[in-house]
Amino acid sequence: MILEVAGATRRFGDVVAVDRLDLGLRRGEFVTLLGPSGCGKTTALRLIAGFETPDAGRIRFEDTDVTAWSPQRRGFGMVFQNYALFPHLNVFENVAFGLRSRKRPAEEIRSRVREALERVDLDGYQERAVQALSGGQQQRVALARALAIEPALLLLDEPLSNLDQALRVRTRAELRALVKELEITALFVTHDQEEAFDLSDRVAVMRDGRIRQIGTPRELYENPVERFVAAFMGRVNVFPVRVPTGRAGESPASRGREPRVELSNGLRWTLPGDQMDAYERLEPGRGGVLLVRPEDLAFRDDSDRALSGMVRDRRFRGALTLYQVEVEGLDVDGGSGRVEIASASLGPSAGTRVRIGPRPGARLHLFPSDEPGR
Amino acid sequence: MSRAWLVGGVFALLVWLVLYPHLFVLGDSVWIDGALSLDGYRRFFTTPAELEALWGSVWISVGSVILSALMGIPLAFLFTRFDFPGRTIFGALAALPVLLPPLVGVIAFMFLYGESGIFTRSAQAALGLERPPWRLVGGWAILLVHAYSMYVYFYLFTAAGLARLDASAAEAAESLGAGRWRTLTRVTLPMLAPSFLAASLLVFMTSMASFSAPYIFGGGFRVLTTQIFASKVSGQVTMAMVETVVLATVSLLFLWILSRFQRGREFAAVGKGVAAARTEIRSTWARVLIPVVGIGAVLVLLLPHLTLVLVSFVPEGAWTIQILPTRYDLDNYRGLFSNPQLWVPIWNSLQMATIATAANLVFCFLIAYLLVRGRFRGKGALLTLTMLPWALPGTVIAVALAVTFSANQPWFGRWVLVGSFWILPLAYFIRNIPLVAQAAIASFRQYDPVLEEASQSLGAGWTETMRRVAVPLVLPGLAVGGLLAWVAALGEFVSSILLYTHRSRPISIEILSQLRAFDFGAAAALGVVLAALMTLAFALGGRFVRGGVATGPPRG
Repeated sequence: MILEVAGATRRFGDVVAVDRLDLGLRRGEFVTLLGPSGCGKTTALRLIAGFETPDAGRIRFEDTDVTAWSPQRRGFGMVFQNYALFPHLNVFENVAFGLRSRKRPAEEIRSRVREALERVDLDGYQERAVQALSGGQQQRVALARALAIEPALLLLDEPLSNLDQALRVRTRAELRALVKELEITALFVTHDQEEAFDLSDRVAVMRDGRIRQIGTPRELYENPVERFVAAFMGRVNVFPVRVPTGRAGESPASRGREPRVELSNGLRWTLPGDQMDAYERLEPGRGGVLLVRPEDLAFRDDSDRALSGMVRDRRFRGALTLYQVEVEGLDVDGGSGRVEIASASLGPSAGTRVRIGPRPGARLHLFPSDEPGR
Repeated sequence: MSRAWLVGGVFALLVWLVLYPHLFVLGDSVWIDGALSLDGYRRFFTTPAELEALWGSVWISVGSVILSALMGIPLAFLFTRFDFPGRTIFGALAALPVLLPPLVGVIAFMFLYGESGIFTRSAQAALGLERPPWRLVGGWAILLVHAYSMYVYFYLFTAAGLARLDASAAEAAESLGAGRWRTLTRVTLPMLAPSFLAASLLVFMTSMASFSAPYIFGGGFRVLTTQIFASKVSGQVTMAMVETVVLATVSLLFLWILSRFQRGREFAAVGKGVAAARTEIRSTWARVLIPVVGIGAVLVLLLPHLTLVLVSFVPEGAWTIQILPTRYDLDNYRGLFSNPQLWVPIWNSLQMATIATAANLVFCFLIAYLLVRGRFRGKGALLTLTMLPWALPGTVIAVALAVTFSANQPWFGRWVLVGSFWILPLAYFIRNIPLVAQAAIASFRQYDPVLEEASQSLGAGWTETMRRVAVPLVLPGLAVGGLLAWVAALGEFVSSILLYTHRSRPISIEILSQLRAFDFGAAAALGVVLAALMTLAFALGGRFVRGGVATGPPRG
């Protein structure tokens, strides 16, 4: 591990912004802290950068305890959300800023600024005033400025959020290519799940100052450890369910080999084997939620376990078509209260009666209900 | 924050210079002949003359607020709401007196409307009177002079308020069926209330502290500032201290009351807001009347200053009993360069103002940094100490310095500075702390603190970040504050008259002594020099700010 954060905590008054945070970064890895606003991801980044001092916990970098080090001693490159370009300096002087702090000879500064600007495709812009640049160009100058000091760790605080959608997607690819080419270890902060997946080797999902789950994008998407993570990773249907009550005194384990949950309309679905643990943890009679991604549901005429409903909306989304199906008597938490299905093929139009169910091999995720007693 | 030494140092200096001297004033007001006694206060509150001075200060201040408002507010409406030829230039000219030191304004007024002033003698001649139709002395004279110079605050604040005002509120009122008068009284004026209050506060505090006008036009009329001066000069130490305490208390009391009014009366425009369009004047009579009234009013207001320029060309003895001086030449201006009596004070003022301002720039930069960026306990106390000299009349500050720095007790932070060159720069420095600090605070607030973090993340330490990021970004705003401070120090009179020594006398004191010697021309020339230096400073300052980054439009 090149960077190790152990039990870092930061409070602001009564608010615990970062709560016993543990995080490790491997050399050359691109890791993203992902979470909704207020989850503590920016504070976590600022703790690592040295702008905040943890109330508890340690931060180690290359096996040295840097917890008490000032930002300038740490020497991590940082790209800020609003770029934080110095308005009184031109492009060249902005990029040269860190090199001048390091008292490098003029000749070296000139060549390294040029190199950094070439990397972000801005060579020739040296004499421009930074205010005269477009948002995308400013973002690249900010990146060049952070790269010019050849940081051992690059910290990026939502650097793409001020760009328009098309530019953001393009810059994402360029950023990842550049970081990988330079073999820089990078820690990125965003609230945009798509951005996190696009950029990162690993993603750490944060909520309430803690990392709830860390893993590759695929791991997070396919095996979320809690409802929050699953919901944050993309569209998902949330069905309130309960474990069917059997005979009195029956232990969960003796309910049979087939774990089944009952939807709110009385229909019972069988869970895949990987949900056995979650199923066993659920107490009989106590509610839970079953999370199913739209692409794990399908139109099925064959199954008697299928839900019967009517297509209310059909939206074309390129590779997928998104359907909203209203099922009578079925509760769906959040959103429209309708079941969402995504399918690669163009299926039934609005107004058609359909039967829907999990496709073969579908991933269903069972979690305890957030509200007890449901 | 690990920069505890900085916080401690700034606090210590402020306490020493801003708070500590006033404790000596307080002490000396109750310490009579080696014993604690309230005799001084008893005498103050039983002597009719003293109570007269207290009452005089208060009613002159209230009256000045009312008169200035009556002059400044309509003028601001006229120049911001209507479009007519000459609007821009005369609108700017109307704000000009704000640049002039009070003493210069006062003597300009005297040359025009005084007993032997040009206007007075013209009226006398026109009416065929044997004596001047009026003598410009007493409370009403002071009031008039105050209104003449302090309308500017109402004018500027109202104009700024009108510019900020969301015109859609007035449009909404009109669309709801309100007539013009109703819209004005129910929507526009209430929305301007914060501007009026701010201007009232400024005028009130300025007239409470005013010294030049009562000193020159007061005659037998007493106010606290002149009373303090008289007591001090005649050696009634205890009484001077008691009067100083009373003046300081009354000033702080009114400041407290007025700022309580101000709280919660800021109207932020909801939504984006639309700037008001200037009304083009349609009816024929108004098309003539409005510019005539507007431009006419400005000319009348500027007439004293034009008189000053005229008188500065009058050689000694060429203006005795005539309406207008008989001869004009450049002798007075030549004298400024050849006569040490005249150029030494100019040189003194330049030196002292520059030293004081340089210290203000450094110190107030640090204060502002701590107030805006710092995280420490006692920020409120720091702000209060910083702004305290603004609330205290110059007379109070000067008396406090005179008492504190007239003894040599290094262990108590006292050295003999009275009678030395350094006492005046010190007084100017203290009086200008609030002004420069406010400019620096505004500048610090203008840029994102993340820039300082960016600098640190690139490897710059605190001092390097200050030097390479904070100073260049704060400088344009700070420089304007410094310029205002420099200009104020250059023409400072109120504290100077209590603290100056003959060798290091400033321009204002020399103006006074030339007046006493009836060399009006030389006094006027010195006044013009002051005004010219100020105009020059602002011309340079304006260019500097425009070239700066804080206000400059994006280039390219």
